[in-house]
Amino acid sequence: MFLLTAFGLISAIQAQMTDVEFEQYTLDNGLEVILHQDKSAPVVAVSVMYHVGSKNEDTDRTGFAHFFEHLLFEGTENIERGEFDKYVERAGGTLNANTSFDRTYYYELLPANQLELGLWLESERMLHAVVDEVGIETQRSVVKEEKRQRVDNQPYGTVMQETFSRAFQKHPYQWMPIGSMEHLDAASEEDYKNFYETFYVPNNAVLSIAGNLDIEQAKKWVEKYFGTIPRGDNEIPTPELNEPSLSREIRDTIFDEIQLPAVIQAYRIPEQTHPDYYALDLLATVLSGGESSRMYKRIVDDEQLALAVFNFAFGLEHYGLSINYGIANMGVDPSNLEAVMDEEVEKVKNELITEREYQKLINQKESQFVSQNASMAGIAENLATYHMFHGDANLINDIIQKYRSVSREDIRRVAQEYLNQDRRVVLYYLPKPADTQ
Amino acid sequence: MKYFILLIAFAFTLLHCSPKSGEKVAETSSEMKEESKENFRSQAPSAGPAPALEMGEYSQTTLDNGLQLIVVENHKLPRVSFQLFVDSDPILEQDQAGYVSMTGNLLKTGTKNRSKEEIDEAVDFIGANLSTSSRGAFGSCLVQHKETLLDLMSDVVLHPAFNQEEFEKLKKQELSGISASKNNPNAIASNIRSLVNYSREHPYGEFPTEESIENISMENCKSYYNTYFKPNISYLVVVGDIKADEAKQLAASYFGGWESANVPDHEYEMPQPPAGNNVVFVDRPGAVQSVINITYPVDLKLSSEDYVAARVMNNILGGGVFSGYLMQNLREDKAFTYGARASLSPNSRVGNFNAYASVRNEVTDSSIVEFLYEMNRIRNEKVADENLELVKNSMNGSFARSLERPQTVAQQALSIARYDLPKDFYENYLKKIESITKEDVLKAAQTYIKPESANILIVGNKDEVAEKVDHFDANASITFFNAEGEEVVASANEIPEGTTVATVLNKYIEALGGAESIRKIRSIAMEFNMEVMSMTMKGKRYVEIPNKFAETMEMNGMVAQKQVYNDGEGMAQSPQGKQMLEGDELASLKLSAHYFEELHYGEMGYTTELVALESIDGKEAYKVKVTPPSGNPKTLFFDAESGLKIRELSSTEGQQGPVTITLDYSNYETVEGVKFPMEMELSGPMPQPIQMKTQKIEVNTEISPEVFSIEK
Repeated sequence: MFLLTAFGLISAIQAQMTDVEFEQYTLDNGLEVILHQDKSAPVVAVSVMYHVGSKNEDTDRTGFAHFFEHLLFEGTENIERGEFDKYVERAGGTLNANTSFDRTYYYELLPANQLELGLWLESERMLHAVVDEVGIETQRSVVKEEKRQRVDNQPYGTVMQETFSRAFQKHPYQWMPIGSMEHLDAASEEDYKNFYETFYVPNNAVLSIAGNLDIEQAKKWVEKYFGTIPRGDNEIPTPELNEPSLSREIRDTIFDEIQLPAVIQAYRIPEQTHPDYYALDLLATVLSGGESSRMYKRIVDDEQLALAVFNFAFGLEHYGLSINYGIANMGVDPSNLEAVMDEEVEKVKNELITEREYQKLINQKESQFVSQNASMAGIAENLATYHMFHGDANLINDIIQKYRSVSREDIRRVAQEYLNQDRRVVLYYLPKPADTQ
Repeated sequence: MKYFILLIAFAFTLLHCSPKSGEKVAETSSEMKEESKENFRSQAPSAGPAPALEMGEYSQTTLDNGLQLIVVENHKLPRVSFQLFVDSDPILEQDQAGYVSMTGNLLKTGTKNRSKEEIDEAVDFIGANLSTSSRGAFGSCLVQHKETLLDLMSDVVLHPAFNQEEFEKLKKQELSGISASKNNPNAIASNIRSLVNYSREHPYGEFPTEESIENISMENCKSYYNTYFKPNISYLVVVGDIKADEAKQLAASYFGGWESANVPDHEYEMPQPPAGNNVVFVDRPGAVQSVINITYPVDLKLSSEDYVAARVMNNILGGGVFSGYLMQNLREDKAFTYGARASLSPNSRVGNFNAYASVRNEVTDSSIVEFLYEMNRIRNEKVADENLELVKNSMNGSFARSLERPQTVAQQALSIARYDLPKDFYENYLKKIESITKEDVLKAAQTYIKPESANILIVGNKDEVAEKVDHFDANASITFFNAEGEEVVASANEIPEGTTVATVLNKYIEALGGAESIRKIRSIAMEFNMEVMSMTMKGKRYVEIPNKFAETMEMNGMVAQKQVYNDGEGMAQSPQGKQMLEGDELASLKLSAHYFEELHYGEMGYTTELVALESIDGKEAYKVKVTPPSGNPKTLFFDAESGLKIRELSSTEGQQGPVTITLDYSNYETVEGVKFPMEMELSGPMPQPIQMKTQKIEVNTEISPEVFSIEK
């Protein structure tokens, strides 16, 4: 007990040291603004998170959210096509964006004296990005190339698609953010304009800024560039939580251009804000966090059954999946690998993890927690994420508490409740059989 | 090889798209909105006053045993990292290439005080990271655990156990890794690039192969460790939430007992670029892309006078997001490739230049033309103001942003110490960038860019590409290498007078039993086994010559794949579904129904060509190219002595691009007067060849018609 108290005390002190302070307010048009000042940083991260992802798409217009990410580099009414990234490069900065099932995120990392530039660029995007046939045509072929390169041509590239499309049969999580090339082709300019006007509005966005800034000046600029952007008129559609639990095991084999077989198991778990999510995340650490973890040690190290194996608690806004993933070593039968993976899951269901193991988990999580706020880019994104999905940006400081309040019993319980062999998706990825012709 | 790709595969549901700039097209106008009043939006705002750049401080001391300690204090976050860097000279490993790296990996697998299991548990318990390499070790943790981490780190570095069992495990992993990357064109390019740039006389030119790994003994590793792991050539770099004097105490406490000793140093002759362009080719049969590397060694160090000018120049040529000369030309303008870049790497011993891209086969030669064009352009033409400004600003900004990380300061300190650079080297770096002129860029280009004495390395499809690129070589001849770095001498075998494709095919038919015996074969029913990984598949093949063919492959009682041809219709079935065949695939299956295809090429519209007399596995064989009326050609090899077909090469479209399939035939046995191969080996798509053995073969028996039925 003393050991645990000592750790707890140190952690509490550390928490004080590392608290991320920020200011937060909402503009009249609904834009949420979050500012974190750090005068010691040489950079400022300017970012906008739009609450739109692949789950907001129509079933016959998938891929839109990701496609828009591309379109929003094309140009705006005041920024010529091809110039957007040049502004950032010339200013000594860098930029990027990414799209997920639930949100689209844009950011620039700029030298501290270029904050106004970053705000101008993002306000241009929000207010009047150019969405026209030329841009749409250009990006259609780019996105097709991207899909080919990242998904179709990658070993195991289709794993997520194949897993999600079986784990979700009603809800939009069944399709991937990259979507369908046919849908993108079939869409009209009207469809695209409509998407922009519905989702790319201030009342659906969070502006998150972190770095070497002056709070008062930043607020003035935010007002200047974003204050007059009109609120969106359209209702912002969000899909229903209409996915029932899995009622049986769905088992399938997929042949792929790979060298080593892979075993993937997916169990339905709750969304990332549910209290059980944290226990499931710790369960993942028990199973595969570090070389002393249960699956790694037995499967990769001692028995050399797999080249790699892990469990991952994938939490999204509406639902989640706990995924086991193993790549068999040469000469290992995938069903043998699967049997051992199952055994390790059963062990956690039947016995509490030891006190020492529990402390190990908490220590591992605390390390991760400290590291995630190491950069301005990381802080900007975390503030936006915690606000958008948990309604509480201060989780950037508190989220570790949610982990500390999980007990060993909780970990055993969630394994029993959610990792059920009768209700899961199991995929074998096998190398394509020989073509003798 | 750890498949960290997987973890990225999960993260990839976040699609990170690098910004794509499209063509520069004039603005299309949109509806004018209220904000026409807001004309502040029409222009980019200007920057504020440039912030003062704080370089970050560090302290440096030396322990009694010669270990140099560098400390970068950063109290923002309660964490600390330790890097132990052993600055030994590289050595020649020769027949045991790879043992130095293995030594590094071995350190973490056990010490005199702890087993691997105990080490892993202890590291994970404190939520830390610890890794070892031939150059030392790296560990990081939350600050309250630092002593535990140092205890573990010093234990693995100072008291490795060199456990035989762990050594065997590691060897196995290394071999797996090499096997897995054997077909990877970028891995091949990287190895051969090192070889041609530096040669085997220089440690930078060596790379491990399966053979060299097999040759490694534990003695090699122990000996390396005992000779080179000494404190007097090492650095301990400490970064984070720790005071310099405490760091010194801890360093002395955990590493003070490490005994110093003389460490041999090694010098090597300076590798030189080739006198004239040297085209080097590694064949990847069936490849549809060429990996191009235009590369040569350079004498460039951090301390070189023109180091900064050289960096600016290289960024103009081959850097930037899309703004480099190479990207603008080969991607934006010509669309030959998804990315064309150049790197100019300094090194205290010998650096290198490499301009690279992956391009489709058909444009390999045109791409090389454009690479050379841009390399000449930057030597002869002064850079435009706009390009120079963009690159300078970009480098400036990138440097400034890197200072956010305390590790940046630490690495700078380490470089200054290792290379004896002036203490203000990095402070002056930015000033130097600012001062670079167009003339400086031109001069640096003329010093470091050598479009006329470069190694032009291509990893690609020899049959389709090699002929078109030999003219880039100063002697108009190509040097061929295999993936292991052995020179492959193109067969000098001359085809004997009078031998034609017709005589070769006729000899084959005779060897099989003669045309008459072959024509007596009406039907064939055979069963065979296939070993795939550790699974056994059963194959069944039925042919009713000339127009019915059926083949199924089963695994664990389930049909994995099935193909049927029946009088003009063809079907293929896989667990993913059934598909009626058309076009080239149907034609190919139709040919299978003849079984003895070589008798029917003419009537099926195929063309044949006798390409060469080559050595296969030490015996001579005739290489014949067979091209169907449409679709991919294939290559057949007939043993020059027996006449029998011993190999068949074909190419098929996989999801990752084309896959070359090699079928080796052996162990011919006579059935009803005609020879059939009883054993076949299939290689290409998988890391290990698949053995196929005929279990049963019956000729001219009744085959039930439902075997060939195609249900729609």
